[in-house]
Amino acid sequence: MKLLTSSKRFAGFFLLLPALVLFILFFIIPTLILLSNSLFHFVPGGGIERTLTIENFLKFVKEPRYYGILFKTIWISLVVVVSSLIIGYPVAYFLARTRSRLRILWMTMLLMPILIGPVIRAYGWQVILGNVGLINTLLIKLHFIQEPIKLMFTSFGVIIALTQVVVVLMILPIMSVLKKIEPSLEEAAQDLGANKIKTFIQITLPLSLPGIAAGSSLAFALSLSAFVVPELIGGAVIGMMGVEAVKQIMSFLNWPFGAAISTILVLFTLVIMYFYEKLLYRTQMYSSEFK
Amino acid sequence: MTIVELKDVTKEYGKGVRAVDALSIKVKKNEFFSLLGPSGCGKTTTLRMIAGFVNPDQGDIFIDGEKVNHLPPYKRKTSMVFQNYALFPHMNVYENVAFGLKMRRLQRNQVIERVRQALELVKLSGYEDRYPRQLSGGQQQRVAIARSLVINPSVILMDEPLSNLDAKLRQQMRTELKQLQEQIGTTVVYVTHDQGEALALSDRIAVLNEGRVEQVGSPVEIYQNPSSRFVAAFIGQLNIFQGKVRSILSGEIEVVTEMGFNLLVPFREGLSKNEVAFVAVRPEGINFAEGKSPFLKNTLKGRIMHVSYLGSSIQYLCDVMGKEISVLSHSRRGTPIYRPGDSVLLNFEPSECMILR
Repeated sequence: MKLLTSSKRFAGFFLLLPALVLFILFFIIPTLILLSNSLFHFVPGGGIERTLTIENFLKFVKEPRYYGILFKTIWISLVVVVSSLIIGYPVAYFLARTRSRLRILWMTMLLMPILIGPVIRAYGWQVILGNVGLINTLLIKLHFIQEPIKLMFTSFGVIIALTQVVVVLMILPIMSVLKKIEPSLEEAAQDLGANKIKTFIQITLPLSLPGIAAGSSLAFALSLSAFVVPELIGGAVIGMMGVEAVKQIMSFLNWPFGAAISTILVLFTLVIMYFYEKLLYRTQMYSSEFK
Repeated sequence: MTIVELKDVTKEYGKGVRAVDALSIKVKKNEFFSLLGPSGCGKTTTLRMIAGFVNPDQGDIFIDGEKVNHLPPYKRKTSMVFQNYALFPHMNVYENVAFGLKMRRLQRNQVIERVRQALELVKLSGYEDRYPRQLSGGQQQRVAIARSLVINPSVILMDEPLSNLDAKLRQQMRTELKQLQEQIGTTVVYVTHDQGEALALSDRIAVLNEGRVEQVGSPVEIYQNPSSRFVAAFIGQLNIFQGKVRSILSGEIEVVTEMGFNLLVPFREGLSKNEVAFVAVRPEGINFAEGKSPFLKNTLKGRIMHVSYLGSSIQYLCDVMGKEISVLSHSRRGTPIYRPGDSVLLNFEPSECMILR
């Protein structure tokens, strides 16, 4: 018996090995090298002095221009999470419950945007959100407004474009959790006197919390580290963490400070993942699959 | 007094597939009423129509004299015990049982008191803080029952509630369920495909087949006087001989079977001479007529093919002129046990026979 399990375990490890090697060689090691740069001194002009220092982090914490970017990034990400939850939940509910044959079509339409490259998608939003873009032209033609509304290079524009990307990642986990909820639970609630709204609030919503937790943390982590959308829609005005890190490294050749910004971003994401795990555990404690 | 009445209720799924076909039943107050039938007979659809999860295409449903056809489930005075119990996994036992009371906006202390009483009834006092996943199947079952009866419904609907339990627990819960129903005196409509369960629990049984009622009656009526071959075969084991009515005597009818021998059966209205008829005998209605004359009425020569010793009884399969006949005899100390190959005489009283069309 023991021999069997240990050989099984060995086989499992063996199957994991190629992916693990790739992951360590091309992700973990480069990331660690980049992050370790954050502890070195920057010599203006593009040099790195390899003496340990925390000055890059102090600079970030002291200067409002920089920690302001962090707060703005968090704020934008939170708005994106909330709006994609509000938009995504009904869609997830519909997709989980529909018995229509068109379900495959809806699913394809849902997944289509993420099959298109992020840059192309962002250019698409430029066409829609610009001063002579689709929305403004339409509103002016219909005489709702005289002057174009500024959508490009605003937080609002960034939030719209980010929500569109992230909403898919909100919908998928919520949908799969909703699908696993026994229909008889909702029936039982109605049978005991709960109308449809009460049934949703008391039964369906709490049981779908694991999906909401998974979707929200994915959406939040992705918004935090977003680069293409804030760069192309927000431009220089709406700085987000990802944009700032790239700017520091590519424009100012300040690798240590860019690395410090990246480190803060990674730490933040890890903290969110930690809370997500805790939340997921708590919500799964009473979920129906946890029998 | 009638609590639940279905009048010519029809439900179609898809084109022309009638799950329930012009079904009419009346359930009396405080009655344990079973809907019994094989899978696909429409019994669960019928129950779900009473609960309001399914709307009938035709016909009317009345609960407490009120027409409820298009009333949503949460406005009906019914409550259901589901096959999988459908306990809310994110609520503990107390919250599960209190759910229906809270939906009815009862005062807090009243909720507490009624939940306490309900849990006491199902012998689960002290389990208030447990979550469904921490309970055994039998305990989950009791919570589901408590949750149903605590809201004082006009009728409790049960959808095969014992089918997820193991055999021994099922027996025990069967007895408890019956005692509980008698104790609180509530009306129950019970769906099952298990004829033993229906016989043991019910005051009356409606046997359903292909969406129609085959027969409604007490367990004894259904077992002893089935109205059709379907009912007879579905409830318990049966030996059936096909034949023709040969003569109608006073009090008895003589049937000549395909196999050539005559059988005497009790008189029944509506049969005429030469009509095709079926004579049915339950396995326990047949005796071994050892040492008696083979010319005795309703006596057949046979050979033992297979013996199953069941403890309290013995099941024999006998070969009678190429036909397999099942015999169930009591096993008492000293009762001879036949062996395969033994020649036997099978005898049954005319009163043990049922004549069916």
